[in-house]
Amino acid sequence: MKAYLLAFLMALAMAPAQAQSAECEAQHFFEKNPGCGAGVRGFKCIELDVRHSVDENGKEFIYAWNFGDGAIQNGYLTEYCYKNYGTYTISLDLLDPKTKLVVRNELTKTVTLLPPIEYQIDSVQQLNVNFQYDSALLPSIHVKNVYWNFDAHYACGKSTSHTFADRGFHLVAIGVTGTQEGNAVSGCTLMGVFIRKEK
Amino acid sequence: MNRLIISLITICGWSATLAQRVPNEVENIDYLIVYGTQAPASLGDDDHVQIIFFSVPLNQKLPIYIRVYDPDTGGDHDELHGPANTQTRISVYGGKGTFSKDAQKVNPSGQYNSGNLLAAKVFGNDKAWDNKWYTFGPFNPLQGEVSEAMGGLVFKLIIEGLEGDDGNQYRCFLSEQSQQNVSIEGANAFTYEYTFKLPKRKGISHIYPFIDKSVVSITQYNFDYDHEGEIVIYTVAKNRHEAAVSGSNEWAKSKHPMVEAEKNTTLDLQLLKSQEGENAISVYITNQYDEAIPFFAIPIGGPPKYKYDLKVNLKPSPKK
Repeated sequence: MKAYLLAFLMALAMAPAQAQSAECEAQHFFEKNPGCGAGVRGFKCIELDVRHSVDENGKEFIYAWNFGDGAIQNGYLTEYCYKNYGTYTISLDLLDPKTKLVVRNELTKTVTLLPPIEYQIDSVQQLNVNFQYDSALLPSIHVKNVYWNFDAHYACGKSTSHTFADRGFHLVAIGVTGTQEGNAVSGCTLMGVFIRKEK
Repeated sequence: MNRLIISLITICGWSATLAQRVPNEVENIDYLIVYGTQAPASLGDDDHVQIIFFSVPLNQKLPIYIRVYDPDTGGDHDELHGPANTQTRISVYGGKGTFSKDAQKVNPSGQYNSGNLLAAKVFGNDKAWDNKWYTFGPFNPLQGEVSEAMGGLVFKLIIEGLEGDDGNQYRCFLSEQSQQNVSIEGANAFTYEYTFKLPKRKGISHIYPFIDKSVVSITQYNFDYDHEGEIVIYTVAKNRHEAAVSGSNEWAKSKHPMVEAEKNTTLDLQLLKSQEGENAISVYITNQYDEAIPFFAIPIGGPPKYKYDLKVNLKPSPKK
């Protein structure tokens, strides 16, 4: 999949704009695939916060978090850094300081820490930029849908355009769905767009 | 109140209710117990009677059986005080009057044994039934009392300690077969007062009353807990509020208001036992009108889960 993502990235080029489909599901795609967003990649630390759901009239417990890699930390608010990227199941145990009993798995949460993606940065002059996906570079994949995320503005289609609000650096997330040898596949990548200052 | 139970049972799906063992595995209670009438209340049984109801779906066609494990007193599992000398009468009722108001009270009084007596047997120190299942039945499901409130046909099992001073520990199972325990889809078991033996080990036991829309507050009563730990109220909106705990041979009670989010949900009365050893206790819960609230062997809608609001924030690694 990684090779496709790189190829996909190379396939991006400037091209005439096309109108976005009325039934664009780009937002849904990126919500369903949070790893496609730039903002959730490259982090190895997490902060867990249950302070506002602590029942003040409830019995006092020590909140013990099992981070899924053997590490345990206590507290309503806690922060932990993993050594490696990956998917971890975090569980909360409650320790009763009076009876010494332990309530296991009071709460569980799965987190995925994704490595950063290396991406290409293209430099342009205009705020309005046209994008086109070139399917010739991924001949083995029958791409059905292409989704674009420009700073939480969404678009669909192999061609699209976007007018950025300001100059400088912008990160664009791109997702595709399609089939390869009859199997459904999907993937995503990032590209950087640097809009130069006007001369 | 009872109509709400029906609708909830329907919503939650009968298919989830498959194990009619009493006490149920999810309660983490090993055995129910009834003591002979010469046993002092300080052992944990305030009235020497346990009434258990079984509800069977209206569409049940096959015969049903009510099975009792270790119904004798003596040999394994029982609490003996000297030579085994206790007798226990176990009776099955069906038909009109089974689910009477008196039978829904926490203390046996009035017509608690109303209905048609379908079967009964007195067990003593009987090796034939030690550590074994005794089967009552077969019963035609239509021999139960139709109860709109419980959405099915209701049978009643009354376990009464007769003469003697021992404790008879037992389990029950509503079964579709006579020689093995086969759950009946959609059936459940419930009671209005529980007298049971806590597990010997430390741990958490659960009782699951259903809080219907009309309940504004509950009062939990527990007898002879011997201060062996704590009791807490756990619901979708209460994260283990502490409840009053009884000492030896005494009742303790505490009142707990119910909020909107807790209505039409199951409450989990958790007994946090922090000491090793045997202990029998009696427990019941009433609403604001002092009416007993039924405990279900299989919690309706499943055990409650307190709603945590967990925020997970990803953060960059600290710079070295």
